[in-house]
Amino acid sequence: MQDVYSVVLTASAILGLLLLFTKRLGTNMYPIALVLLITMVEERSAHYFAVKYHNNLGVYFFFNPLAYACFAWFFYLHIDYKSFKKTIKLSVILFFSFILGYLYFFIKLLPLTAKIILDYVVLTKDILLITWSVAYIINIFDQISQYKKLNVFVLMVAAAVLFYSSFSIIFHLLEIYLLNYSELHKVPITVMFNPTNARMYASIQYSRVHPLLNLTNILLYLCIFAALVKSATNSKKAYI
Amino acid sequence: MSDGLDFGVLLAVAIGILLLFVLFIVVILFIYQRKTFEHQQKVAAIEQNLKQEILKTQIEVQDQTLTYVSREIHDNITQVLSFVKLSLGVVGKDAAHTQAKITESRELLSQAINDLRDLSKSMSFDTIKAAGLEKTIKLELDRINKSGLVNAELTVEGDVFSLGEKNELVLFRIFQETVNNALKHANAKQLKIQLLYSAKVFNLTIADDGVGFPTSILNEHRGSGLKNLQNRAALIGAEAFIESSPGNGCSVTISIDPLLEQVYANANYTNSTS
Repeated sequence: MQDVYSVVLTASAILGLLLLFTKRLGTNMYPIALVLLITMVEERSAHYFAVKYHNNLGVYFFFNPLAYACFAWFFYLHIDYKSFKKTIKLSVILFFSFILGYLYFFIKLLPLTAKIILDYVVLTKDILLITWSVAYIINIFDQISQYKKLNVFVLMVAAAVLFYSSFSIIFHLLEIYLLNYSELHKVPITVMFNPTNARMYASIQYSRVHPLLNLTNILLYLCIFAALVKSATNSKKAYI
Repeated sequence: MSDGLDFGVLLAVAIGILLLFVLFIVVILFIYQRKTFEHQQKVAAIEQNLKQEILKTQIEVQDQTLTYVSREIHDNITQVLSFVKLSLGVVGKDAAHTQAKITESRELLSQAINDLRDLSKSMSFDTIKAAGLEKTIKLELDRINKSGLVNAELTVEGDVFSLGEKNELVLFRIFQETVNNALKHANAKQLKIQLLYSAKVFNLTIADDGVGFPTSILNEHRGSGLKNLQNRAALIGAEAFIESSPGNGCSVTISIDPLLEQVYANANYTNSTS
């Protein structure tokens, strides 16, 4: 499944990059194209660091806030509520401040503790993204009275973000639980995360949620791919 | 095994997630369509109501014009013509006396002709359409000033522009109602009308020096006329601000955003009663 994910991500990222440079993309799709680019670089770097240094936590710690900022920008462009727009801006500033504040400690932390902190970062990102996607879905009903046309592809991306983030929350909560348990009871991580050696219910659930997370991730990038294609085929004016 | 699940299970789960996702989008789109339909019905009802209210306003303006015309004919022109008839009936004693009577009759007939000419300029929907709000209000104020009941002044600020036929008709009716209230109930001696035209806002202010009233009556039954005035303003997307207190006269301001009212201004209105 990892291969399918890589193919879909690479194809979407190349398409995004191509449309971005040929200026055929609507301005409201710029953040999504950037998300693809960031994610692709993140995955490649993570693979390189994992092979070379056997630790790629720093890569995820660096790229997650960037991906969040781009998604936040995407929702900022599509949500009309002024209070939400302000909150989105504030959330990006706070998110980056938190990351920068932690970066110094993060480098010095043991891998296990660093992984827990990274899980909390991703968890925060997911909670915020769920909030913005729900706000966007509520917002489209209010846009009816303002005669704003619904862009089904943007709705699809928002719904896919909602789906992916929901599974991601479950996945990372389980991971945090298992890591904490491993640290507290001195159980090796390999035992905690191996479904065949699983000692508890959470370990089995974790192994079952993982493919679901990958599936929703593929779904997200497929929706983004479709939205990019639609944006490129539409005139630029219609999107502004 | 693939990531903890065998292929069959994984495929079933993938299809399940996809179906769930499609169902989610379909449900959202279904709700969206239903809400769009409800909104369209609401807009249609508002448009229907607006048409009816415009028609009602037009009839009211015509009614007031007819009342004024019939009163003028009865109280002024008929009297003058009767006097002329009597004058011409008693001529013949001597040439000088006859000449004097004829001269007097000619002057009275000229006055009657002038009055009839003025009457022909009486306010109607066509006058508002042709002359615009500012000129129609000016004509109405000239007529009021001629009656000697009250002294009315008009000040116009900014460059005059059309607010749309329907809007101007409703604004003129609001003006008429407010002036009538000032004359009938407030015993006002001074009326100040201000028209403010700017890109951001249009204001019509009608201020009198009458007896005034506590604004709390707006929530009571006897304030229904004023409430109606506010409702009428809301009909064209305007706001009515009423300021008054006992002994201090009354000021009514109708405020409208011309940019927001472009839809109304550009709308075609068919005069079904003419």
